[in-house]
Amino acid sequence: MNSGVQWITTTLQTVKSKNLQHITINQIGPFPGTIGEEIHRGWKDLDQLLVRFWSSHSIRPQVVYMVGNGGELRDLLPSLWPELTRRGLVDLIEVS
Amino acid sequence: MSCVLPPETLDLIIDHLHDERAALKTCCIVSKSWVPRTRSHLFACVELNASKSHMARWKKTFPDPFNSPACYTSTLCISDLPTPTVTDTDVGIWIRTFCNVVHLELSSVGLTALVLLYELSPTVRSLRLTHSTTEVFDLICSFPLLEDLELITPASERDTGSWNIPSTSPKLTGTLALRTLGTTTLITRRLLDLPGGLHFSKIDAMFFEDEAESVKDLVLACSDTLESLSTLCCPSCASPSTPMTDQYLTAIHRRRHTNTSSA
Repeated sequence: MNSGVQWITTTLQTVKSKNLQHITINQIGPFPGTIGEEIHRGWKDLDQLLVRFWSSHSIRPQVVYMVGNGGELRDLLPSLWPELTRRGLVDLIEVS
Repeated sequence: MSCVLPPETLDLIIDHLHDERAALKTCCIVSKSWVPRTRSHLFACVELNASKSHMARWKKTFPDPFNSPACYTSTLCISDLPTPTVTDTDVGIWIRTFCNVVHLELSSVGLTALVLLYELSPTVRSLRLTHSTTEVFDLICSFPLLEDLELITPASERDTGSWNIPSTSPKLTGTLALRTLGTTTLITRRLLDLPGGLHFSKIDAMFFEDEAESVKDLVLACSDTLESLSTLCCPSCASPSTPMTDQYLTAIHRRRHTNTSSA
């Protein structure tokens, strides 16, 4: 997962399977210091889509990231995925 | 008075010893009737690394390929298989005695050597290719029951554009794992060309961000069957093997290993 996530949103919108149970997004690199408006909007679109996936498929998305490379992701997530974070619907997994 | 146990009971006893290699080796020399069952455990997983002379040792130990225990192997790992020369005329013969393989792992096997493995075993359900050429689709299509496919960091290759699409392809209903930084677009295009279509239930893909469109097409192709999607989109500036990607993959592997061990 890079700062732009529009492609994930458009990809997930095409999935017709009723059996989809797991969505895992891996964060490999550090997040940019300043997040542009377009990137922010992309994340919020994904937030809304994943909330819908939770409602329709009961899928809790997982975000896997490496401590030190994307360490600030935990702090950024409430602003990137406000609805998922507020509802506690995202599993943040650290690897080291 | 001798007591003869029914063969089913003997099989059960031997099965209980499946992870006791010393005991199995002893069982193997008790009686001819004990040999098949003990060999099915002793030779269930075979690793042949040419650079460690495993193949030469195998051939020395079992000079007659048709009496070797290769038919008991369900997991076969082959590494560094060299390009066969005129003096290796028997390589194809003895390698084909591994006729009941279910999980096949190939590492650093060149195109010419890969040809030896076409239709190796009709029972192959899982194929893992590491550091191999991207021209692996004839091999893939030679396994009619193949479900799981894992391709890891093939060397970057120039896309020749056209290729001979196989006439049939396996169902591919299991897991697709791609670690194909730089060649994801080429690999996915080949996969999407397969005549049988794609029916993977799990996709685990690592790719560059400029290859995301091709992964999107892949997901779309499996859209009816997909159960699990895991993505790792790397910045395009990262080379296929940078400290960052290596470090991350090591960390992920360590975590999975820890989870498996604790389970």
